[in-house]
Amino acid sequence: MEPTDSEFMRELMTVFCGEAEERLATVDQRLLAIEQTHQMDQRTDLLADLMRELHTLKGSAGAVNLPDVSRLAHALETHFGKLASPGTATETIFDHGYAALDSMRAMIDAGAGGVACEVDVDAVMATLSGAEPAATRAQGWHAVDDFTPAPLPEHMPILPAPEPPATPTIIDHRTVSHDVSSVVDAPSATAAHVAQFMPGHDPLPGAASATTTTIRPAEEVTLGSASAVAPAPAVVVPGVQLDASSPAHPTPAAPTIHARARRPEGADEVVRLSTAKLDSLMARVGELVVTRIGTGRRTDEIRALAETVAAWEETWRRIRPQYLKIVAAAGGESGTSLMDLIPEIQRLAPAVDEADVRSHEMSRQVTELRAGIEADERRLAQVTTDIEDEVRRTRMLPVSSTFDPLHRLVRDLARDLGKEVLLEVEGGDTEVDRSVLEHIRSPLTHLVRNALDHGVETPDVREAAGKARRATLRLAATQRGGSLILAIADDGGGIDVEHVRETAVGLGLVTNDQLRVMSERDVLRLIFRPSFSTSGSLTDVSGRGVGLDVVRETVERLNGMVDVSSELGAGTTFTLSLPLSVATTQALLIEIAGAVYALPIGAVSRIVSADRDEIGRAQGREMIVLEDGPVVLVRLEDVLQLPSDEESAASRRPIIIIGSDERRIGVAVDGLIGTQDVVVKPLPKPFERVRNVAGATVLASGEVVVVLNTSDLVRSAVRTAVRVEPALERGGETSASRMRTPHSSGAGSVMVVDDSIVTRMLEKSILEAAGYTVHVAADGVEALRALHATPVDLVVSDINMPNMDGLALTQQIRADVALRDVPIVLVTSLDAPDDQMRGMEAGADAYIVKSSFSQEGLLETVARLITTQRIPHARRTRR
Amino acid sequence: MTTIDETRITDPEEIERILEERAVALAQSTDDEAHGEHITFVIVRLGSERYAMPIDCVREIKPLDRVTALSATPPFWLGLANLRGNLHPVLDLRRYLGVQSIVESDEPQLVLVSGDTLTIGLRVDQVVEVRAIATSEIGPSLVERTAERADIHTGLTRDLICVLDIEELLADRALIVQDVS
Repeated sequence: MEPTDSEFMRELMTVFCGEAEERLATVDQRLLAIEQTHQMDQRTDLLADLMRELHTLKGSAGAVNLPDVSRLAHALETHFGKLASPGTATETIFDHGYAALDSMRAMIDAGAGGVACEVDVDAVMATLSGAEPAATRAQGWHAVDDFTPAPLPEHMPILPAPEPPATPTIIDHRTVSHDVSSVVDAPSATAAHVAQFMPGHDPLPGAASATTTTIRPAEEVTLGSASAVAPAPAVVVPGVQLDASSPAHPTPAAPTIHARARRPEGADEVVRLSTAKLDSLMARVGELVVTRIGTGRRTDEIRALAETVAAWEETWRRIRPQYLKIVAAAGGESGTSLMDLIPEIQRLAPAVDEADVRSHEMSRQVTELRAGIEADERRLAQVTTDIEDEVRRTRMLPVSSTFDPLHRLVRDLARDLGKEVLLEVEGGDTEVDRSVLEHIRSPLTHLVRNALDHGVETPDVREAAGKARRATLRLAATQRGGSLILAIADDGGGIDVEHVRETAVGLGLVTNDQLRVMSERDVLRLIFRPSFSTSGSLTDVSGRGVGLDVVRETVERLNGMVDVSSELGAGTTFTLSLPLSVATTQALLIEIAGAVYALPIGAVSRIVSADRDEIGRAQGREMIVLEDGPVVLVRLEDVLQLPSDEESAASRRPIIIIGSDERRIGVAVDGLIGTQDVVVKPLPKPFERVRNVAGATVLASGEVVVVLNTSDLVRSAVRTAVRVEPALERGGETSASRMRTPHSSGAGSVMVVDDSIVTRMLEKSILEAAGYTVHVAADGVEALRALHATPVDLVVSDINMPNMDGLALTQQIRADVALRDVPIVLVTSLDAPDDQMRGMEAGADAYIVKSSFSQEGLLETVARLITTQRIPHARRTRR
Repeated sequence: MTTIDETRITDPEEIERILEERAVALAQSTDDEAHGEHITFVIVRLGSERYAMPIDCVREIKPLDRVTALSATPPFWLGLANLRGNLHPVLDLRRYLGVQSIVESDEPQLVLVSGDTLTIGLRVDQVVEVRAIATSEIGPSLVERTAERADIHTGLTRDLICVLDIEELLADRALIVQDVS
């Protein structure tokens, strides 16, 4: 071990943290399972797993120079060895075990962060040994004695000690057979059997040593060096309370669920990839190489073509003087007659033939080259898409990585609350982007705590209600389209809707009149409103600090949604729907002062355009009054301190309403470019934090675009120094002409059909800003119904929609006598020529692709079609 | 240096020894070059002045095309540039050093420099040449350092090329943008 090589050590520490986190999670899980099972053979398998993880951890901790972690791991091996004999599994063993594991997490955290650890290892170890029931000591299972706690040997391997060649499968626990029930019938046999699963241990001698190298109390005391006192004094480690005399366990508030090994400062996040993923990526790269070879061939072909062209030119050079001579003779310019030139012409013939052959050759080569290039392009497009896809998939993790620590949480919490709860997990293998997982950890934890605290009843209450004493909490993950659906369902008491009504009215969230028209489900949803708590008292567990509104906020920040359903007496289900990947964000591209900026569309609540007399002044600020109240209006160029373009500032401008209900502002921009999925990158160092900037993105053109931070914008806007009223500077006329109504009245009416509220909103805003009257519908069925009630001048529809898609809607409109002449514009994310064809076949008049969607494009198309339609003789007759 | 004469030396150990000796001698001479008299610099022009930066710090030189401006950053930060999908901050070296730009360049260049923790692009008017300068030729810096900015001038050559300490530049705390409002 060379501690001088700090770079290497840091890297090693990062790897170790990841490994330790995983191993400790497994240990936790196995321990929980052992606690819950009463079948000895099952327990033996689980214990073998647990021991192996601890043992490996012990070795790795030594390699990264965390001797205390090694010592504790060793002591834990001894401690958990007690579980090998039947009837010895006391609560104390589990409680002390969990507490010590938490201490170990804290120690690893501290070690990784390079700070002094507050955990008193000796005290923790003394607790472990002090809790050991004397009766089990003799036949117990102990740490395998291939390890010297301190000082660390120089040759301490970084990886777990290599397995003996005779049992090559023992390190890979996936291949270890778990069916050992027939072998195991006595504690010693158990120990022997388990021992052979342990890496670094020779199975046959191990069978003997596992039972014979039992560490006697005296030896064990040496492990705990100084404090050989038993029972050990109560020690306090961060978030963990240890007390040898009572079976205390971590308080529910203990951050055990967040106890993730911290990575060393400045180190990259280490990602572990399955070989299958790498293989698949490699296969794609292979395709890429094939394509490169293909393009190499094109270069050869172009060279051959160039040679043919050169040869043709050479031939032509020979022909040309003779040809000119003939032309001159034919024109009678020179003295020679045509007859004299006959030999000349005859001589020319083979050369002309040659030129002819060459030109055919050129034509053939060009055709071949074109076909080749087209094939290359197709393959390249396919391969790059595939690679992008694969790489994105490498960011995916199974959702179980987030579910697993919840087992421990549920156990601890249930005990603390005096409840019995079984946690069931489904769909743990669903893969989700790791950053999504990172973000849902805390809302998920909150919902689980909520379920245990408020949802699940005590065993007695349950029994009285005719339910099983043990409640079931179900966590289910499923994938639906591009979304991850997480359900957290308990079979507890359910939410009393009446109580929600009363509380909501009491808090002034809704009026009784409003309540009357609300569905039960909508009433239930009130619990996501800030400052709402249905629990009678504020408990330790939930209700204090974060509430369901924070859950909602977190989920919505990820562009997800949260919902609740409940049946009184039967239970409550919370459903989270989240994007599987946050690699891309939908952004609204806007133009200001000649530059393009991106705004995450999640923050945009609507886009308006206002007439001058709709803009008022109050509190020294410009305000715009919307239907539901006034909002502060700012000019983006002022907030961003960009040069103000007099001309554009004076003209009518789109106003984007951003922010949440309480704090929202209107931002005036020069123009809307459209919406696009972008990958938001953090700013490079040394830009730690730049005001109003969330990051940057690179557009397909290679242009770098700044992604604005909307909450900063809201804050900046409220603060931005009051601007001198431009009317005073430039005279009233300019100011009055600003924000004028764009079009003369009666520009026409348009029906926007789209299942996405964002798209609907965007299109509506753009069209309204251009003076159109806009109606909206969420699908084809709704649109048809609305069209019969109120005919419009034009329909703008999405293609992919539930109930009735855009193609079917188009056909229906064309088949309807009353509607058949309405122009239809299809807007869709599908850029496939096939769809365009089908759209046109169905009878659409125009087709706009969402990815290239622009305000101008839409307005132009709409204006063109409405004008055409309004001139009676231009009206086309349709089938 | 001993030569290997096949007729004279037949002992493989002897040959081994000679080869060893030569390898050491070769290694020695490169060592001398690295530590010794000459350092290779990239010479750039800012306005009408010339500056030299050690080539070890320079990762790439390319024509500067589009830079996306970032508001609320010090004036010497021009913004962000895209190099093969990676975003790099771009610093206007003229503004940073306070060089009066009389000769405005039509084709500014981007010199990508990197240190231990930071990689940034420097906007310069022209990349003049890459050449080795003898350390003996580099005299002391003649202008006193200003208080507000790190002193990155390490010396001046006889032909008026100012030598810059890029490591020092990258370590300048003033480069960090950390909005606290």
